[in-house]
Amino acid sequence: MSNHNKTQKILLTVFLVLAFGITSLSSAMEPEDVPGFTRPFYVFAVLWRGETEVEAGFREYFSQRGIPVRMTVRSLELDRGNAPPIIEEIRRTKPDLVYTWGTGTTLSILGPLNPEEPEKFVQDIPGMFVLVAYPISAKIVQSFENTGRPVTGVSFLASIESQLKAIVDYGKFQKIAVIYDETSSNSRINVESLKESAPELGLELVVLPVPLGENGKPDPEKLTELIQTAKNEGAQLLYMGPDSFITRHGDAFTSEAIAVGLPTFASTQAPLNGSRAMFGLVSDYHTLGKLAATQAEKILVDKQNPQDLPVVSLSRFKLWINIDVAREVMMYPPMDMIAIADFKTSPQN
Amino acid sequence: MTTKAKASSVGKRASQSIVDVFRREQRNLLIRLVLLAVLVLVLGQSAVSWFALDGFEQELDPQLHQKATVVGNALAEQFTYATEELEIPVQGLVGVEEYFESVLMANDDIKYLSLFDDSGNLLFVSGISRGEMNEIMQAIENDEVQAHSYGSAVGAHFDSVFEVSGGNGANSELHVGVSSERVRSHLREIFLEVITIVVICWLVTFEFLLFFIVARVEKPMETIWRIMSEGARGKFSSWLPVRSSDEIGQLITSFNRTLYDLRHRYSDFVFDVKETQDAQIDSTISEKIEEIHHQVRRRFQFEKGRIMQIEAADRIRVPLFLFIFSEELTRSFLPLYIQKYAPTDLMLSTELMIGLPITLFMVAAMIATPLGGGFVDRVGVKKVFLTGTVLALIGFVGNFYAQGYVDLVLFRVLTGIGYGLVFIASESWVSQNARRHSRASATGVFVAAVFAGIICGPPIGGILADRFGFEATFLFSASLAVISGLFIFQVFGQSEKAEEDSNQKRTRPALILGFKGWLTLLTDLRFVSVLIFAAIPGKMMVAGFVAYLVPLYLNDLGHNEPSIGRILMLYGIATLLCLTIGARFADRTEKYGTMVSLGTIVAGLGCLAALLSNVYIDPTTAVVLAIASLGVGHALTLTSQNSIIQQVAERYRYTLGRASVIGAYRLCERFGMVAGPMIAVALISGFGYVGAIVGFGVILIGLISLFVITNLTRANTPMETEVGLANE
Repeated sequence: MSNHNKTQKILLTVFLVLAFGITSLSSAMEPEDVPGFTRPFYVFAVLWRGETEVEAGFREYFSQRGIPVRMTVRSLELDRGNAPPIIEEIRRTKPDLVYTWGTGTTLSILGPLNPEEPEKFVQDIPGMFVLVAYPISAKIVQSFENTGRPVTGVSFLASIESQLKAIVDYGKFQKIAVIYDETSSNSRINVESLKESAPELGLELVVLPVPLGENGKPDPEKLTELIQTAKNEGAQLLYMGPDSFITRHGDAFTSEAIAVGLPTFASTQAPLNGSRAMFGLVSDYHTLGKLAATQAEKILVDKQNPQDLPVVSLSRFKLWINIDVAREVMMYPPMDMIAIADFKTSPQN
Repeated sequence: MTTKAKASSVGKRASQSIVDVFRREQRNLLIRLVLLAVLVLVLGQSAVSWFALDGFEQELDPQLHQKATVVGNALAEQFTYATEELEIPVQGLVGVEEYFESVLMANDDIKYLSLFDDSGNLLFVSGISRGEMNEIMQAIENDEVQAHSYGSAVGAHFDSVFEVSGGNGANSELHVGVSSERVRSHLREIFLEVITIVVICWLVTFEFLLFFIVARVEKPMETIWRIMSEGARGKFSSWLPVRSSDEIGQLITSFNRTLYDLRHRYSDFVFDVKETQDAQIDSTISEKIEEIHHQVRRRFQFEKGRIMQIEAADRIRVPLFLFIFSEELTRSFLPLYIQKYAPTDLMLSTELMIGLPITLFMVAAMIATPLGGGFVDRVGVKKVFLTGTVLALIGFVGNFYAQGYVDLVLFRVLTGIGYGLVFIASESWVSQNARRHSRASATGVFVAAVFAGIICGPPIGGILADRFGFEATFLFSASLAVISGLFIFQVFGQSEKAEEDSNQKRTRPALILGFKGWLTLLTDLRFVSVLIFAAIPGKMMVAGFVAYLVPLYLNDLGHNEPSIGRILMLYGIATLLCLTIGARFADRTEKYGTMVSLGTIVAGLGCLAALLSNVYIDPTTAVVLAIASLGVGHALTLTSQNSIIQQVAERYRYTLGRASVIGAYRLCERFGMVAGPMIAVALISGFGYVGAIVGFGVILIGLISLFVITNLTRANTPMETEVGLANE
């Protein structure tokens, strides 16, 4: 019998050794340390209207990782006409990476995918965009997976479906209105997607483009009238997309909406900070900046071609609720949203 | 017959009956010993289980309360945040009941959640109606509660209160209710599980205890009695092989020495007689001496001795049990395990992909059985059994490492072949070693080992899979297969080798039954009648009724999986409990055919009892009754069926090969397994569940009536030939 016991023991040992061998083989090694850098990496950032939390997150990532990065920051100050001298400066200083904020900036500095006059844009330096709502429709990249040019970026919008889902979860809204600038391609694309998705969630959509003034630009004077129209049409909520014109007039826009008892939903962060929107599903700008930095790190440190890097987006979005507005319009968020939302108060308070 | 011869025959009978009495006494002693051991075990286990359950009960309530506290605190904090921080008035909270619902959904121990404002008005409640909630509050206010350290028991609920502070100092109350009924049903569930485990422990202990007692004590002692009864007839020439150095081994050694000394003294005596005889000059005296010497030689025999083999049919029990156990371990989770690997992108349905490996396993076992029979007749039981365990071992280890569906199926098939080989090897071993008068008892050993494995495997496998995962359980199966193989080495000691060798020299039948062989068997009335009227219907009931109809029906009646499993276990337990009684009775009367009929009738009547369901008994009781009668019925028939087949096999052992006949029988019998589910489907769709159970009963009784008729029409030939043989 003792012989048998021995055989048994040996067999069991063989099983165990095999089992552990397999598992240990499969565990992968993670590259850890960053090699010493001879000089700081040079990033040239072009913004639309000054620095935001995105750039803060971007810088923080590099300082936390101990990667030296020198940044030059220029702003278009809301005017694409300011681009040429900045392009000149970029050509002169030869940065390692050009960072652009927003659709307008990106189109002015890096240009569209296949420009008719490529010499007008920075085309030979790796580029990366942030805060571009619809990079494909804006003809900045071919697709998220394959950008088709040495440019990559981070996407910041939650999908239209999850935005509408948040709206439906908040309250028993049946009819929502969108007031938008129809000269902006971003807004037009956004409204198209809304028209497609809203019926699926049982939402009726009222579409109200802002009439153009004499200068061919949307007329801010007409906003009050449009809000009243929305109310008269039976809308219970205003939807605020990635629309620079509405965002610029956000405070007045949302306040007037509250005055007639209409809360506002925002799909970007800016209106929540600078206006009186009631709630929104947005990317956290700071986290977004860090995500952009991971993309930049691959380009700067790992020397990867941006063309090989797909456009990435955050997997989690923030549900923001302005509780003061909610109190004012008497539309408190449901308990399960209270459990997960971030709360803020109006700028006035 | 001369007086002398008469006297000797009387003496022979007397000594035989003395041995019989002694034997019965001794058997009682052993049975008492096993029963005592099991009784002590059961008592001990019951006591431990009782205390454990009691402790569990004491532990469970506070734990549930703790859960209520955790949930209550978290919710109260959330509400405080909403009312104090966000300054939402408690009456203005939105979606509270939906929020409660989601919490209740995630915690099924919690029965209700409710929120009251500062003046005690019920605002929101989930889990129970507003009326019920208000009653509970009324009871609390009227102090109609049993106060516990951890909450108040109100009727069937434990109620705990949590404070929600509002911004304006108005505090509201959150009530969390835990159902005490849930606690009780938890306990009941656990109690039944503990019983299951206790029964399994009991069976495993019984298996091993019986094995050691039979192999180490009972069989050697029985052999000693045989030698002593020979001694009573004046025969002192046999001796016993010594297999162990324990007390029994020492007894055998001293017994052998006594026999040796007797033989030695006798040869001294013969020498002296020869001396004396040779010294005589008078031839009449010499002839007288010769005459007396002759008389002594006639009465006492000391030469031409042989080794008394210890009967070995029982010794296959533990290895077979371990092997069946190893395969049955995987039974409970096999479909889930297969589902994990089954490709979903194919045209075939998932059910089919899950069913395929299970079916292929059965097919592999089915094909391996008659083939294995042929091999047993050629190379012996040991090699076939070992080949079977090795194949199964490779299969189990392969399933542990399986990367995809194809590997999985291949290794399952390999295990199936091993299963078929071990099965037929064990059965052949039993049939080789069974004595004529104890055929049913010997096959009982085989059936008992299989059933014990089938009962113990799935629950233990379920626990192992739960703890260590599906794949690791295959390693447990592999280890059991290895241990089973090692036991085989122990069972087949040196002595069996000679027997097997002589077997080989005698028989060289064809490896696979040819056309002629099949023709011989299928025209053998006994073989065919047992097969068609008893064996195939039996397998049909196992596959169609126990494994198919009952789980579906019980599920329909609202039983959960563990409960269905326990009811199904009844079949195996009933069989196992009645097996020995059935086998003993069959052996004493040697009316194997009658036993087959009787058992099938019991099973059939049990099914017919379903007619009473909804009238005198509830449907579940009807199913339990049918399952239990089927188990009892099978206990009565199985050993007798096998005995009849062994007799048939014995008759054809030089022409077709013993194992080949058994293999052929097992192959044909499995058609019942194929037909069973199909018949069940047809019956259910035609007559509903109850009608289907009755239908099965009708089929059983109808077929067994035909069996009785065929046996009556050839009343002169059936079992009596075998009895005649046995009396030679």
